[in-house]
Amino acid sequence: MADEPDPDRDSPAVDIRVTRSGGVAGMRRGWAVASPDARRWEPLVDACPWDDDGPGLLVRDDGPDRMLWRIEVLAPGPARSAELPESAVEGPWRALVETVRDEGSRVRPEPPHGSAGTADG
Amino acid sequence: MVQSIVPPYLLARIASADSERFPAASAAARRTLRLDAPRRSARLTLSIDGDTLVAELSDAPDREIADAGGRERLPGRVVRREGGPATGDLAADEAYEGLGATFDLYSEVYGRNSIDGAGLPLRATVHYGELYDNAFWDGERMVFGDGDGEVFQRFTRSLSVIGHELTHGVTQFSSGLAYQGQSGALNESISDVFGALVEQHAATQTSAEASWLIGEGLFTPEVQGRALRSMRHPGTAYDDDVLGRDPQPDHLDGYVETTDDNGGVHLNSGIPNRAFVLVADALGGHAWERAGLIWYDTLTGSLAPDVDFAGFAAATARAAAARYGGASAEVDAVRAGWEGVGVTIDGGRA
Ligand SMILES: [Zn+2]
Repeated sequence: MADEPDPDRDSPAVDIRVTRSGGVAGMRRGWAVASPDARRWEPLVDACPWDDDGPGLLVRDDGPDRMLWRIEVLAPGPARSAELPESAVEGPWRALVETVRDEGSRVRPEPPHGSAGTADG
Repeated sequence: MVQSIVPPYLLARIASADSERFPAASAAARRTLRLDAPRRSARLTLSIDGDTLVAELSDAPDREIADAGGRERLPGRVVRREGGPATGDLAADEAYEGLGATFDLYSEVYGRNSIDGAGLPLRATVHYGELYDNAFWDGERMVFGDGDGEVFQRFTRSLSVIGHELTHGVTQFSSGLAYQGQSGALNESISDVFGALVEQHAATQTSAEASWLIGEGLFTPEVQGRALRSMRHPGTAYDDDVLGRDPQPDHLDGYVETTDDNGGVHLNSGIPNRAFVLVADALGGHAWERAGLIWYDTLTGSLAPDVDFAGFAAATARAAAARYGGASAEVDAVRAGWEGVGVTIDGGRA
């Protein structure tokens, strides 16, 4: 079982959250990384084309029952976020998402975005 | 060969006459014998009535199942075609059978020949991706993942999910409901409605007997939950430490405004889902017959692609009135069903 990231602890050098929504299940899943090892994660984060689409902008619509990914980097700075349909999670995005899933912890999904904010815990 | 008994000209006449009458009662008889005609997929049923040979020709599915072999590339390698033997691979054979059951509901109950009404081949790909937690309709085919094994098992395990995906194709070829906000939630709900009806039709269940669950059997035993969604009691399908609690509303008061999931299409579908179950329960019997027919008439009627809940509800009332009369029990049940989830149909009696 995964640990919830502790919001009260001193800001970690790495704080990355990945949330998946949609799919036929319509179920939210979350993964998070909190690590002191910024040097390990910076290249993965910096490789992503954050500015191409701007935060929260959908680049294309995949059609029914496809999944939507939200990627939020609170640290290392600057804070960045992106929202991507699953078909766009390729290349560096895919590397980042898969590393967070593999090395991070499963977290209870945050409430739907837009209804109750993105407060954690 | 059985086919040589009935000459082609007679088959053609039977085929054209048969489209006029599609009684559910003869469905079982038609299913007793399936044969592929040379030019198109069709189903021939022969029976003896007294000393007369009765031949019936009806539509039949044209299925093709491919295996992506764990990659995310479509379509994958074809492993089973229509009429071919079972592969021994559970996912491929479940997809084949599930597409057949879905075809049967649309053909036998609603007289619709496949997704487009014109015999479109039914294509599916199984074993898509690695530990892939999803099933979807890509505009041309149904795609099924094997699940991560932790939360989800393979997605072909659920007949209602197979019916759900194929119904996205039917919606695409009929009303084309926009996959966003309320019309998106209606698009989702229609896939759940007919996905559930595929399961009920295959098991010959009444509305009261049916589980009204979508995706029963997909979770691994570790998950605290029965299914992805409950149409009868939205919001109660699962409650799990890791997954959280089923977030579906069961009433318009709980409508979720969100930018996720195309505006919460898989959340707010709980509202029209429950409306359908209320209508089916009120009418009793097999839900695919009257409630299902009203929803099918609505889907294939003149819906605006961006219709909202109220507009769709009004269209179901008009469909019920057109088929059963304005002062019918069916219209009353439809209006009461929508009232039950907080959606009011404006104006007087439909
Ligand atoms: Zn769907």
